[in-house]
Amino acid sequence: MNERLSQPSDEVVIARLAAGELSELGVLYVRHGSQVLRFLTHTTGDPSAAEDLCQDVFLAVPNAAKRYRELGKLRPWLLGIAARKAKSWKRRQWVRATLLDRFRFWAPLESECEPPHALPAQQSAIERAFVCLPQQFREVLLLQVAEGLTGLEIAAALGISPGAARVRLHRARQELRKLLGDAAFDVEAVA
Amino acid sequence: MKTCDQLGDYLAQLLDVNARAVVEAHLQECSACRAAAQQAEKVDKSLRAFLLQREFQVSPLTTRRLPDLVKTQRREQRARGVRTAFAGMAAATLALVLIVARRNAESPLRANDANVGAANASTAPQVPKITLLFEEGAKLSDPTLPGARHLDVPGDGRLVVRAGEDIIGLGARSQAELPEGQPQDSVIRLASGVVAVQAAHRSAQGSLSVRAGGYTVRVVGTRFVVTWDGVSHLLVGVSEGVVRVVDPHGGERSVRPGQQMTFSEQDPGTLEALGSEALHSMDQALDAARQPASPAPFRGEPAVLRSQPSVSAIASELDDASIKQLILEGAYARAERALLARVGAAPRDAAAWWLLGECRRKAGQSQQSVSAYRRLIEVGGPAERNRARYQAALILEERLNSPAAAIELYRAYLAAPAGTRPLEASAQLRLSRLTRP
Repeated sequence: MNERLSQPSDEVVIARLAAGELSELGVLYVRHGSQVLRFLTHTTGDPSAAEDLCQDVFLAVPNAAKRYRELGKLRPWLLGIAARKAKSWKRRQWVRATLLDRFRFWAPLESECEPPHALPAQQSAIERAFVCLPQQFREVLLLQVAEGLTGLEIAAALGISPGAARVRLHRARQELRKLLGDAAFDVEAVA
Repeated sequence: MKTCDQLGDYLAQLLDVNARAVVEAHLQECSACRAAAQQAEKVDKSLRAFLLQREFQVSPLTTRRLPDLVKTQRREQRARGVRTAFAGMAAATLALVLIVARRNAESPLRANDANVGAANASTAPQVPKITLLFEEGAKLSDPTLPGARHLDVPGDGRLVVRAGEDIIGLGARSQAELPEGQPQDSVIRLASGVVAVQAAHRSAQGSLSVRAGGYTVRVVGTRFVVTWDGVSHLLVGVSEGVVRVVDPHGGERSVRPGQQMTFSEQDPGTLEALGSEALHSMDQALDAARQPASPAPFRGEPAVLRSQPSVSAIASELDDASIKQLILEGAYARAERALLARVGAAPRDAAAWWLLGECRRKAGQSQQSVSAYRRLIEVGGPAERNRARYQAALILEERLNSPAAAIELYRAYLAAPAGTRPLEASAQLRLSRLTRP
C-alpha cells in the first residue's frame, strides 16, 4: 500500500486530538512544524523566541482542535495561530521595553529602518529590505510567497477580510519595491 | 468591473479558475497590467529564493514530548484556577476582618483600652502595629499578633505582614526581626533568607532600612527585595524608587528601578537588569524567594557548585529535554543548578552552555547569560559559536547598554563562515544602527 495513503489525513488527526488523543500531536508537529518555525523565525527575527513560540503553537492545538472547522488545508489555520502568538510576543516585548525604559523594541521600527542602499553591501538587497518591512507586511508576504497560501487562506489565517488581505499584499510589495529602489524592478529589466 | 481592476485580486490569488483565465488573457493585451504583474512576479521570485534558502528542522525530542507538555500545561492551568479562587477568598476574608476590627476599635467598650494605649505611647517608644496578611508554613515567636517581632520561615513557606504602612514579605528559610523604633525610621534585621518590602512613602528625614550582616539597605518609599545568604553574599533588587546600600566599610552604592546588584567581600557590587518578573509585584518577588535556597540566582561559578554532591545527582537525572521543560515552566533556579553541574563536570558541553545562557536570559539575568554565551563561543562548534555571538550581542545591545561589546560580537558574527549566519540581515541592520555616527 502506498505509504502516504496509510497515514491519517490532517483532518483525521485533528479530530482525534479533539477527542483527547494527545499522542497524535507529534504527527502534526512533524508534518507542519518546520513551516511554522520558518514563519515565526522570519516574523519575530529571534530564533530562540521562534522555537518557544513554535512549541506554544502546537501546545495550543489540542484545545483549539475542538473549534477547528475544515475550511481547506490545515496549515493556514496553524499559521494563523502562529501569527497571533507572534503578535502577542511582540506586545510582551514592547511592554517589557516600556516598563524598563532601557530596553529597545526588538524589531526595527519603520522610522528607524535604513533604506537597504545605506547598509553594508555584502547582504542581498531583498533580505535587508524584508527585515525592514512592518510585521503585518512580512506576515502576508511569508504566507503567500513562502507558504503558497491563497488570498482567501491568508484572510482566514489572519482573521481579516479578503479585501484587506489583497490591500496588504499590494502595499507590502509596493513597500518592498520602494525599499529596494524602483530601478531593481524596472519593467524593461524584466522584459 | 474592468479587467484592469481585477489585477489586485489576481495577484493576491483571490480569483477562481475562470476569472484567472480572463485576467491572463487580458495581460496579453494590456501592457500596463502586464508590467505590473511582471514586477510583482519578480519581487516574489527574489523573496521566495531568500525565504526558502534555509531549511528549518524541528526537534524530534520535542515531537515525543509534546503530549506530556500539554498535560503539564493543563495541570498548571487547573492549579492556577484553584490558587486564584483561594486568593479571592483570602482577600474577601481579610476585608471582612478589617471591617469588624475597625468597628470594634470605634466601640465605646474599647475606650479604656484606647486610653491605656495612649498612656503607654507617652512612656514607651511608638512602634508600628503588625498585622498578619498571609502565612504559609511560617513560625511566629508570638502567634497573638500584634507583638510578634521575631519571624521565622523554616521551610518552603512564606509570610507577609503589614507593619504600619509598610508591607513586608519573608521568603523560604528566612529569619528576620521586624521594624523597631519610630515608624518614620524603622529597621528590619535580616538574619538570613529573603525579605521583600513595599515601603510606604516617608518624609525626607525618615527612612526604612534592612540590615543584613554589615550591610544596610536604606530607602525612602520604594519597593525592593533583599536576599542575604547569612554569611557573605547580598542581593538587592529594586522595582520602584531608589535604594542606597552601605557596605560594612562605609562604601555606598545606589540601586535604581529595574536594577539588581550583588555584593560580597570579593565583589564590591555588580549591577544588572532586574528580572522582569520581579518588577510587577511583590508577590512575584516572594515566589522567587520560595525557590530552594541556593547561591544560583546571583552567583554560582561551576567550581562552587561542584562541591555539592546533590547537584550532580540532579544533573544526572535531567537531560536536555527535562531542562528545557524546567525552563519552559519557569523553574529557572532548578534548571540553572542542573546546568551548572553539567558544565562543571564537562566544561566543553556546548548544549549545556547554550541552555544555561537561555535559562538566565529568560530569568532576566542578563550579565550571567552573556557569560554563558561567551563560554559557548570558546567551546562550541562554528554554528553554535555564531548563534551564541548573536544572542550575546542582542543582550549587550538591548539590556546591558553596552554598544561597543555588541558591535564587536555582531562583527564577529558577520565574519563567520557562510552557512552559520542565518540572521545575517538582522545583524547587518543592527550593526549599521550601532555604528551610525
